[in-house]
Amino acid sequence: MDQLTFALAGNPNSGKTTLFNVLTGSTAHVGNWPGVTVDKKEGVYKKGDEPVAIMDLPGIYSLSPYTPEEVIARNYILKERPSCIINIVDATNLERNLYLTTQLLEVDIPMVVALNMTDVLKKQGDSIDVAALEEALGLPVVEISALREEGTEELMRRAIEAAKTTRDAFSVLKGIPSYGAIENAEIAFKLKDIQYPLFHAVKLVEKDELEVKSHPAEASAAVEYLKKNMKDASPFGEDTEAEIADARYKYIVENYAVALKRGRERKLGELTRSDKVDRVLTNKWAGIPIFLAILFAVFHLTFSENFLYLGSMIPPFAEFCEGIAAMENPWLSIFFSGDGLNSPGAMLFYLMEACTGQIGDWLGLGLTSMGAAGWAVGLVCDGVWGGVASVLSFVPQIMTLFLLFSILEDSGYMARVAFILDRLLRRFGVSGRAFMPMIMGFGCSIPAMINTRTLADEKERAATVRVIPFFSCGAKAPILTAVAGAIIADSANFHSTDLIVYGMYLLGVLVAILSLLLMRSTTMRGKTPPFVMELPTYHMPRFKNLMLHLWDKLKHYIQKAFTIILVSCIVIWVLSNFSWNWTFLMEEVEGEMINQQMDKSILGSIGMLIQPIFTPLGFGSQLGPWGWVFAVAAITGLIAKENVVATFGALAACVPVAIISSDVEGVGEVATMVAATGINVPALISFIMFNMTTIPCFAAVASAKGELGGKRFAWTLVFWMVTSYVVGSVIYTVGTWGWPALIWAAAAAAAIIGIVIYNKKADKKAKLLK
Amino acid sequence: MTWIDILIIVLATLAVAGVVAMVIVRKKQGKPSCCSDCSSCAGCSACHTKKQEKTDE
Repeated sequence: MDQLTFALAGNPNSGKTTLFNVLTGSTAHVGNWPGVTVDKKEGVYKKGDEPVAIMDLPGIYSLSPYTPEEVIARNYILKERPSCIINIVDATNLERNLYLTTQLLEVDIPMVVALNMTDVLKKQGDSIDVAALEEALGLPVVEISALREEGTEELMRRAIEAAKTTRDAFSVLKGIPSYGAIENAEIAFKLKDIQYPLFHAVKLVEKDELEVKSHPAEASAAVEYLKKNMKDASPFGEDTEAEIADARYKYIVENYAVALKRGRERKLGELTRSDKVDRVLTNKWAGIPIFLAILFAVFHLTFSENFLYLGSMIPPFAEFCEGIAAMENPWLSIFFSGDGLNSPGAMLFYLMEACTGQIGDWLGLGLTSMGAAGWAVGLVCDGVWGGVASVLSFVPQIMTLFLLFSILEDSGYMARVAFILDRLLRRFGVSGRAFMPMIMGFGCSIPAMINTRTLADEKERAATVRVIPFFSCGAKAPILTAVAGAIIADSANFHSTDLIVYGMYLLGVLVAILSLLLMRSTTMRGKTPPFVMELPTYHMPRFKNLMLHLWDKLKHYIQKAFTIILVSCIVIWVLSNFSWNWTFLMEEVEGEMINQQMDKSILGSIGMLIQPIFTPLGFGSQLGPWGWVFAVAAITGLIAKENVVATFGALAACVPVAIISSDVEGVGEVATMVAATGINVPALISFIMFNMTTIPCFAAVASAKGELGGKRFAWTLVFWMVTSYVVGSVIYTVGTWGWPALIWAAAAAAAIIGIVIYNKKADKKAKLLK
Repeated sequence: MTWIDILIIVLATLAVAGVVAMVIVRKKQGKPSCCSDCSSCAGCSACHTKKQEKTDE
């Protein structure tokens, strides 16, 4: 006998992926907002007598698809014919969720209804009479809580039982005026031996685009029938789609919703606790400032070296911290900076840095005691470990950042942010729905680009894919932190790493918004689609979910550090220590192997060749010796963004100690290069923004190619290169001299006038054509 | 050149060759070359369409 296959179908954010994870032991990404899953995902349930394949489908409100991921769900159900459909119904929104159930009833596949979130319903003081609902639907109904892993085994037992039986298709539409047309079409489909005749007949009479295209003869017969019989028969006239939707809801209210037992009658307009919180968080005026404040709190907790500004508020405490910092004890530095107490993220960063530094020391001592030559110690300690450790040092801070973002996502707040930003984004040509993939971009651009499939408008989707890399991903965080640290080391008065990183993130978002405005008013013009998104109920984030999110990120990061980053470090070390004629450039100076001729290395000559390209951005030919390292770092970052910091880590050891005052891991390595090259602060900010807005890593580029394809992808590459070059140039020239701001403003004004004239001409042309 | 120097050269060469081979093998298997196993990505099958088509055949 073939293996049983169950499909999980239900409304968005009804808990399908949570149930999928419980049944299959998977760790698929779940989030408290509709539209997390955009593709089908397969797993196996092994707890029963026989293994069952479980298919997690993207959430759908009906079987009439509008977006690509809705097509995936519909096609799977209709074409793959699973052994049983597990229809997940959010018990707290029974009527709306049962709308899909009434459509699934029209397909003769065995089905079980899983009433999810019943624990939340009970908390609200309500309950569902399961036996009554089961009788009304004619289907097995099982109460579950996927989040608490309750009722899932009973659900699988009933589903396996149902899969071994057959079920006739049934429609709740019997008796409506257009049902005659449905019956006629069903008979025609049965004669043609088409699978699911009732379902296709209903869709045809609904004038579903796909259906009408596939069965034109039946469609014209249905239209004839409706013209003859529907004029006075229905208040909806020939608008059968509205008639059918109305009939479904009426049937649900009369026959199914009676199973819902309200604990107490709610007064009209009575607000739930979630509604009361939303009154503040989604307030027209306060919503965006609150979001910016929450975002700053996230960065303060992650990057600040003056936690809660205690050092600034309590002068004796600041003096105490300064005293501890002066002792230069790496273990005490974990807790205190020269300005105050470190934030949790900064504490973890310094702890990791102390550990990686200690391991580096042990490696050096071990290899020397085993008689390794100076170059071999250099390769392992400076080249390989120096590069890998500089990336690993940032793991705790990145994990802290992800944890805080995951808490915001799981609580349901991020969905609210999409809602409050809709008003702002709409002015730039995209809806608030586009914000969800953008915010996913703070984690990784790849799933974020895939998530744009939830956007129905193709041009809006392409524009969103293009700006996603501007939302700094986890791999770019080390660049921001390390360069921010170098800016602080270079500045006498400004000591707020958190403010610099926060500012850079916001600058990335600003570039994204301006790019959207530019694209949506030129090459990607179109109406901004309406934004309808169900706001999920607030709930306390689940510890297990948070840990799964973190584990996934950590695993990915460590894997990358010990594969691609490690290999890049070896290659960089070899290229920076050999000349074109394979002369080894390291020399023994006072018992230590030092490479004082790195400019003559293969990497040095390549770096110097490409260096002039970056002159307008501030990290090109104007820099002193080793200035080409910035150019090389920008290029190695195209493989993986972590490589930028790893490049500094691998090459910093070659800079003579006389030039710099410190030689420490991580942040200090960029500071070393800053001291050696004489790069200024605007050029450093330009360097960060170049890396944030240029072509992303290889994997993200492949993902963009998959989502956009062909010509649009080629233009996307050009767009990324031009944007990063212009943004970097503006920051450097304006930051260094000030007056070029006038030139840039004039160029922007000329571009705006050009766009307005072009658009007016295009509109005139379109009117004439009409 | 001592044995430890030779060992370091061999290990470094093996690391480079191993990672390059891994990237090629993963790409042939239809897995992403970015070293992630994608197990928890909601859109993971988007990266594995070729493999699925082969399995379907």
